[in-house]
Amino acid sequence: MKKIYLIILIIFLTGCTNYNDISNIAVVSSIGISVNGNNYNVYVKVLSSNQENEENIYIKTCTTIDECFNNLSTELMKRLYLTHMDLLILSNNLVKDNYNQIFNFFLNEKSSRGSFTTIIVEHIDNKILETNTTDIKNMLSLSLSTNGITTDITLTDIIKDILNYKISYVPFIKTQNTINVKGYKTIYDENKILTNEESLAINIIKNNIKTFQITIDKNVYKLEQCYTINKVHNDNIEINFYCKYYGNNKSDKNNIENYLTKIITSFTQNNKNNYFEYLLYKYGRNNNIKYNVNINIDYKPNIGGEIFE
Amino acid sequence: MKEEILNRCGNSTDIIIRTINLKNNVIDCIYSETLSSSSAITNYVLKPISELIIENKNIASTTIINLIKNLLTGSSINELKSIDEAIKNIFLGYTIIIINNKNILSIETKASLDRGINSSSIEVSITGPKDSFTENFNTNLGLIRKRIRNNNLFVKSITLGNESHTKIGICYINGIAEKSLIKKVMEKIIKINNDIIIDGGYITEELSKSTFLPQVNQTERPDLASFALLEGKVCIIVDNSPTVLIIPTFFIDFFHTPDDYYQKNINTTFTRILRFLAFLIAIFLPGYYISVTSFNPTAIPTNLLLNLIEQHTIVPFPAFFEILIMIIAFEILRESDIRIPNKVGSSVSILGGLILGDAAVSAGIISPIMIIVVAISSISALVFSYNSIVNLIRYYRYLILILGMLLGIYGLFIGFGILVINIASTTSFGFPYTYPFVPFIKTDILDSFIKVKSRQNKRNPLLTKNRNR
Repeated sequence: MKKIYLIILIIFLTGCTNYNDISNIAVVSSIGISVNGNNYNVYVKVLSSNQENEENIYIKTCTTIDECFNNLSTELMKRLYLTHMDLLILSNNLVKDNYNQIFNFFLNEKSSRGSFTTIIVEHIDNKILETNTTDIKNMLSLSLSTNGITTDITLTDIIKDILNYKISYVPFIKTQNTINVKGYKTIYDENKILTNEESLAINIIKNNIKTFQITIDKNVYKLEQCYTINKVHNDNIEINFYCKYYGNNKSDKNNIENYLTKIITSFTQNNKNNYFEYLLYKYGRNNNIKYNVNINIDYKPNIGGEIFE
Repeated sequence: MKEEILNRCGNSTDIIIRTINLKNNVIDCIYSETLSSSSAITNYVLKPISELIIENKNIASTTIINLIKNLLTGSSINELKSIDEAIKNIFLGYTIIIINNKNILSIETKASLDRGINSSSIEVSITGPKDSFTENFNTNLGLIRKRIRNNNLFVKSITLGNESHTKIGICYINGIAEKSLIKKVMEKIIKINNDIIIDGGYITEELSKSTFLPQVNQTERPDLASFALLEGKVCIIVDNSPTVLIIPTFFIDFFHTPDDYYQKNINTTFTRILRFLAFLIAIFLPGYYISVTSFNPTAIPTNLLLNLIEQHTIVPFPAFFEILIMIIAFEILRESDIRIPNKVGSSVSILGGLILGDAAVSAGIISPIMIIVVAISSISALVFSYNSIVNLIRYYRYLILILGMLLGIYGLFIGFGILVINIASTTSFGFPYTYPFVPFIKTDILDSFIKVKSRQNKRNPLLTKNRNR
């Protein structure tokens, strides 16, 4: 009988730890984190249930992220609830140790899901926090479909990349007079802002691009139905990129192929800490990795015609 | 003898004694003026006896009993042996004739105390027949016989209730109903030792003691009782009860309504699925709401969550108490709506439902979403006309609510498990409650939660497979 009482007690006490009444939570929409010396500046945008006052931005400065959240929680007299969070903004000045602490915080926080978009900005201010998250997400997807330089990436993707490759590519945004997407920034083992060409190259290698357009000598070419197949043979990595190009001039095909080959080759030569390198080191391969880039543009002539009356 | 009868009836004012002197013979007619028909007494008793007075003959005391027996024109005349029997017959509406303080005759002179055959008020059908059972045993039996004109429709009568002497009729179709079922029903009914049986509910309670789930179905519709008999079930008619009991009953029976048999299969399927959804909503919605708002706000979309938070901030109680208050208030409202006369019923509904609800929200006692949750859950329960399933929904709603409050979504799954175990472990008179799913009967699945095709004959394969055993 005692066992039954114990089982019932355990079952009923299980619920107590998860009790989370909606009147005691503050729903966080986005978080910004920057460092200032030894301190963290944590910006928290809390969604207001009052329709007149839609959102509130709170700023806390503490030695750890947890401390900032605890202080803010005490101030609001509510638990900060991160499941509905959809944007994490990281500042440009974070280093490896800061990232470790940030990742630990979000992995340990029970209400965090890690499925929110993560971006890096040059400088965190109210302007970027006040910007609608949907607008930022739209900007990222637009930049992918127009010039192919960034994609919407979540914290889970970043952590996965870091665990696998010790490097992750996070969208980088500049906020001066306007908000501009500036390609990727590498984080963790390497902190480097990539150029537009490098950002395009990594998107091609990671098979992120389906449709995009490139500008070569002031001519704009639109490529569609793109995909990448990567093959690894010992120390030889084969990058095969396939795309369809609808145009009027067949010679454009060669221009595009040459241009894309050039930027991918240049990326692999100049970025030794890239997507593949860590994996190959991990499995005991030598340092002389050879890249073989094959760009296959399928030229499709535009069907022209005239309309007769 | 007449004095003894009067004394034993407490000299009740409705017991009337009419004494007729017939030269050397004395005839006492005793009857209850409330239970007997005065015109029947005049026509079948007094008129024939008055003919003897007119003839003014000397009749020997030994022959008068046979003479009166032949003279009386009533359909049922019996010679009684004791005063006990005589008293019992008086209260059945018979007139007792005591001849020379020795012989006792009883003649049927029952008055009709019925309200007549009315349309069904609870199990309403849009297209099907409208007649319903009444409080009269014979009328109820007649309504069934009218539909099954078959000599195999057997009726076994017994009297139950030590004080009420209520007539009970056990009906079944010989050759279709399983003999072991009939025997089991008879045995259980004979064992009932109540002082009083006023309604079929007394029998239901006695037969369903062992389980929480309803094992006996009640219907006020003769067409449904007839369907049940043709399936191989047993029907119990209780005198003075406007409902007939159907044995055995299965969980799926509560999802079927009279209209299911009178409309297209596609329409029936749609409404049955709707009823099943209503059953789940009625039981689980309040518990789900509590578990989601107290344990798993993650499951709520952001905009809705903000809306809910805003509504909750003005309410001083935890969500559980808020919903409990609302459910109890609704139960009280429903109960009062049933009891009060129809003429004031609508005003109570308006006052209780609209004005009080609105005032409670304005006063900040209840949040609007809570009213929506409780209203949807309660309206879903109203889809079912059988009171027993409404009670089942009610108890499970409280159980799931408490589990949801203590354990969140996890509690909801535990509650669902308990419900399934409860249903699966129940048997109705030895037949599994989960028919036709367990045991799986392919032909009947097509007429369960859905209705793809009806059986050509109405016989239930589960009930009739061992019918001769």
